[in-house]
Amino acid sequence: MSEYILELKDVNFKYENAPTVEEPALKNINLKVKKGEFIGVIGSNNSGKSTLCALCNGLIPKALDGEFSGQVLVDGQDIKDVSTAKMSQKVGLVLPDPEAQLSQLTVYDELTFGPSNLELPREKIFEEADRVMKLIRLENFKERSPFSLSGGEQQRVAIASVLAMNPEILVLDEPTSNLDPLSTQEIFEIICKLNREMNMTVILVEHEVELMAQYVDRFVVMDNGRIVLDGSPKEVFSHREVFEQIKMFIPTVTSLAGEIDEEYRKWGNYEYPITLEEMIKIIDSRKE
Amino acid sequence: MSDMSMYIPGNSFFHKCDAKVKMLLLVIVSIMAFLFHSPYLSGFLLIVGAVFNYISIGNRMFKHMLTRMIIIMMFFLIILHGFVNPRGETPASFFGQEISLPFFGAYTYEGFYLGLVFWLRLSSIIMMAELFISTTSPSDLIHGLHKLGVPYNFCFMVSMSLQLIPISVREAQIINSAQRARGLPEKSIVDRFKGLLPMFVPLVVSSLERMERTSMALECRGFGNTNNPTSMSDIVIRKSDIALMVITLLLLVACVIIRIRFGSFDMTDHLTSWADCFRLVAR
Amino acid sequence: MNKEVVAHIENLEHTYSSGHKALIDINLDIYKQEITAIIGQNGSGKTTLSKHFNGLLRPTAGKIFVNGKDVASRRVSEMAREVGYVFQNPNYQLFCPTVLEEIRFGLKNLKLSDEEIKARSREVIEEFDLRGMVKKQPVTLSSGSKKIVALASVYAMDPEILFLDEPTTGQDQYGKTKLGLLSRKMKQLGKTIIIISHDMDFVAEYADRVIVMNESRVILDGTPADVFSNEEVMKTAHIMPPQIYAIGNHIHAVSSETRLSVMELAKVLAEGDYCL
Repeated sequence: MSEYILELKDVNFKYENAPTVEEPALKNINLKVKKGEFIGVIGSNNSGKSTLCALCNGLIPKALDGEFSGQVLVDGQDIKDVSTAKMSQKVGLVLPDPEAQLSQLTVYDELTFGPSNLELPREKIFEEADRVMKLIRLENFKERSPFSLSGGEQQRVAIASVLAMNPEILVLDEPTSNLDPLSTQEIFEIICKLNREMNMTVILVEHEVELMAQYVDRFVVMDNGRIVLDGSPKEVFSHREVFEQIKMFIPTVTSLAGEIDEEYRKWGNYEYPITLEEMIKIIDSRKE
Repeated sequence: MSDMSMYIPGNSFFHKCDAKVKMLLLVIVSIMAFLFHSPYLSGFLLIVGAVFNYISIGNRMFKHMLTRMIIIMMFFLIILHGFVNPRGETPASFFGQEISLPFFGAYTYEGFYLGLVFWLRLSSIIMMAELFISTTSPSDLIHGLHKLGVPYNFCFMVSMSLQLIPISVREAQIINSAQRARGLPEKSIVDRFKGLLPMFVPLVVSSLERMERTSMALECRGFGNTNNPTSMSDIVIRKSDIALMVITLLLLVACVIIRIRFGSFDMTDHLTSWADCFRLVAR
Repeated sequence: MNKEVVAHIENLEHTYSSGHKALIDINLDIYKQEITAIIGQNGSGKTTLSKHFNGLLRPTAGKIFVNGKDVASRRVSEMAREVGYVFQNPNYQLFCPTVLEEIRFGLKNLKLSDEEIKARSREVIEEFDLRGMVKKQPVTLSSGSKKIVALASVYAMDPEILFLDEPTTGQDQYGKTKLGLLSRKMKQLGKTIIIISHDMDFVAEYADRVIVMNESRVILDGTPADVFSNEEVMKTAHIMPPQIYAIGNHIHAVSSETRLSVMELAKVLAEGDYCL
């Protein structure tokens, strides 16, 4: 067994049915993910983030057509050798549009739907569904139609229904892009809890850079189908020039520290802050 | 309107009854209702159905769409048949008066009788259907269909469409607002007709896009992996279900025997007064 | 300087048929050539309020005037001349085979002459920099371009007030900046812009005035600096102020200017000219 739970080696992919896009969606991607890591993937629209997500659970190249080369290993197994259904027990994928992911008549049916497709024993399915329901706190919605819930609640159900398959890696493709700030915060807290308490490996694609900076262990920055930066949040955000070049913002506190670089270094800090708390702590300590 | 199904959750005998048993009950009642040409058996079935419904869903049965339909049908069928049924001969007397419509002629005893019989037949079936629909959760219904041999994918499609209707309705409303806000004319019928295209295209495009995402999400949850997923339905056939089934089947057999020995009790040709319409056998 | 009022709202209330009071006692004036942002959680009444401007919803009490005329007596299609509305999801709006026809659709609804339609659409294509895509099918465009086409097609009808509902949803930084700059440009061209948004960074950057709604009421109305420095209201409305204001508030450096910029804050920090 390899020490990495997910490994992408020299992956290239070009969509078949994309007449408007001539360039490949992914170019020469190499990525190694350790068990329990919380990775944030950021980049502009069409930089290849969603394609990367679909790759992790084998939807690419199996369900979506295109030219694929390279190798994707999940827990040491090549995704090409495993069916999408089997893969769903290794990698759970959550999509941006909560409503489109739901199909069942009640929230509870939604939780049992995936495992029942895998023909798992009834008792085990109920056990998993009950566990997940507690974890994501959906008890009050158990018998409700998922379509009668708010967007944030629906996204929680979508996450729960994927977790009911008991995957080792959770991949989320812009899960909060249609939600209000309060629900966004709630989803982030759930994801963080899964990572910290259950040691779930998480790959999160998002636009909310400032919010992500509070939670993730590692950032992968993509541009135009390539990975341009990969490292700890501090490391990544220290490359301000790269972000400028790919027209992306870094957390305001980081650019603020950048603006007063000379002065900032005199304060005895060598690393830029990436979260509000850090910045405030630095300012406070300076005045004391 | 977030829920298209007419299911009313509850805990009664019929709620716990297996969907297959209830389907069978519906089929048997439908056969029985058409066995005799007399108001008595179908009238009896209608009353039994109403009692069953009341036991299961209580007062809500009176507000049920199907109950309303039965009442509307009563006026419609009994009045219409009275005037227009071709077998109508004897004009009925309303306190010594005849009522007639130009072109159709008088209201007849035969027409009334046939209208009544027809209404009772249909409404007894609708009453049973109401019992079935309001006590069977859509997911049990789908499981039941699947157990009866309908392919899983088809059953899934049925339940999925049930969900999509309200979503599409909501989307259509938003699109309609969006186009009206762009000055889409809304005065005449011609305007409305012209307005169909700006409604239709966005609706189709957004449905297609959603279907694409839905199919991806379903794939991720192992849909299509098997034709025989683990059944999650809690409902099992109980002894009382079997008893209910046996009683109805026996009743059906008895009715069939009576029908063969004594005929269909058709009174249409012997009607000369209101009282005649409610006789079981001719004088 | 006296500001010109383009919309006036008086004791407006809206109660849905479910009995839910979505708007309570709203009194507002919207000023010409300003970018006004309405913020608040989902369900606070933002969308309900916005639908009253062109009559998609009618007040259950109170009045709303646009350009001095009562909206109550007028059709939605008639109001389209005065109030443009860009919906959150451009897919709900776009249906024509080409971008050009999309822009002309609204103009045709206004029953303009062919020459006028041609001239106006040429103007809009120029202003929105759409030359490269006039012949393209809107459905095939990227989500950023779709938003801009939807905006252009509404702007083309030359409404006094333009509503942008969640303009930045699903947009990356480049798309957001472009939409923000376009809003400013439209403002300079004489339009009044009202933005409904959850994106506080966008609001802080581009709005001239911010209206905070909470539980069907307007609870605060002022410049971005006024609003985002009011920590109490931010908490009530469950709004996280942008980081720059969070720091500004912490060191009491938000002056009464319209908005706080990174440069300004950096200067204060560098000079150590602040107190905790």
